[in-house]
Amino acid sequence: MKTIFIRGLATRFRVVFFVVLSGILLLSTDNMAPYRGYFVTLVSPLQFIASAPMVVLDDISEYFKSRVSLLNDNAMLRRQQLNLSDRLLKLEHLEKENQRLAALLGSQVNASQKKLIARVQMVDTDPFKLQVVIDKGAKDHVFVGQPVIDEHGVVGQVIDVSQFSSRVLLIADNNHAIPLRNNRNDVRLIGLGKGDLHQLELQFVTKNTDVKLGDLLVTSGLGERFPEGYPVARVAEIENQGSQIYSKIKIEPIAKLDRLRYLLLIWPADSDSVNESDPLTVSTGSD
Amino acid sequence: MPLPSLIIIWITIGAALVLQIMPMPAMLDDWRPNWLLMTTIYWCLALPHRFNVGSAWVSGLFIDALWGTSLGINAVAFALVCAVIIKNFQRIRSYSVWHQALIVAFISLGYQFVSYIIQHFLYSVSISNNYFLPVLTSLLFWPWAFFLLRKIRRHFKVV
Repeated sequence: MKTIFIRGLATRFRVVFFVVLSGILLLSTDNMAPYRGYFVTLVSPLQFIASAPMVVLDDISEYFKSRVSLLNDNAMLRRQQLNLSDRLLKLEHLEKENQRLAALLGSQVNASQKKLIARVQMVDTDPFKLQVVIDKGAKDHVFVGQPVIDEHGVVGQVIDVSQFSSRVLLIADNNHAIPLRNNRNDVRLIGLGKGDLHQLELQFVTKNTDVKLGDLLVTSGLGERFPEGYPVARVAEIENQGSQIYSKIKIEPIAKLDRLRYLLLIWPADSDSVNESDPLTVSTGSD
Repeated sequence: MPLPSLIIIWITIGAALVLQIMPMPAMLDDWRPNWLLMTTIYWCLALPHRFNVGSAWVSGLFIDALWGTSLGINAVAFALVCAVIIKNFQRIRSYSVWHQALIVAFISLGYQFVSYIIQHFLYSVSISNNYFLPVLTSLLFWPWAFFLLRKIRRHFKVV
């Protein structure tokens, strides 16, 4: 043992100093955001170490997959591909038609977007935040606020980018809200996360608003963060209480938020043209 | 020799960080003991002149960065916890290991509570039923963490 008593500053002063320092850090969270990326890059090797055993196990189980199951998979995927390519042919036709109509109305034409597949890193996160870490970062030009989807629907948006990884806030998080549109009748709504992976809430929907069980809600594109038309959720429960002005509506996200594996990052079609376009023309286009 | 002992300490902290973010089956995930907290408590108890409030604060900052919490939340919780230990380290050191485990459980409860309160005020998060389970597992795992870290300290002659 070295000493019985600790030398140096009294503990009280140290505590006060570090509490004040944390307070400053917390208050300047928004200003610090760029530096945070560097710090996270510094510790990201730990993330790779932590997820390595799982990745290795995954690869081993892929390697030892039996021939039969591979053949089955193959056949299933082939069927699925045939199915999808049929729908794709129709979609291409519709897309062209839609573009022609949009051009006639004088609104902007959405070109096809750049996409990138990202793998979800299996690391544990803050118990209070619904988020996942993905293996694409600043080196792949991921940016904060970027929309993220999976094969079913919208998953969330990027909130934090470091060099080799980034963090995606899920739509079901407490701090997340997403502008929606009812696919059936174009009523605009806002889907609010409740911290539950299987349920979101619609806020401030008056009782006479036309929302029915099973309605499909898609992104409205009004927040200019999520591109328009991606499926988000289905209406799962509507509760009307006599004394309340608003009805309580619970919606179920379509993306399987509890079993995410591969995600799709979307880049806006042409970020410059969006900024330059006249808001009036856009609004006439969506009417 | 101050340098090697500091390196050993920070290697154990790094290992605790990895254990803290390691993927676990969903069933066990809520039961994950707070490895980093146990490691910082051990070093505060054993070598308070090497590992003090500042080092605990930095460890908390690391877990903030890895978990995606706003920088400073876990840092301040770790600093406060460490201060409590440092104030009483001579007394806690002389207790039996299960008695220490009980104290670790209380401290871990305090830590969970502090980090919850801060996040509640900042982001109005709500608590889940399983939030305090790590307190229980930290209690059960403390003796093993303690003996392992003591072995490391003696083997590498960390002073």
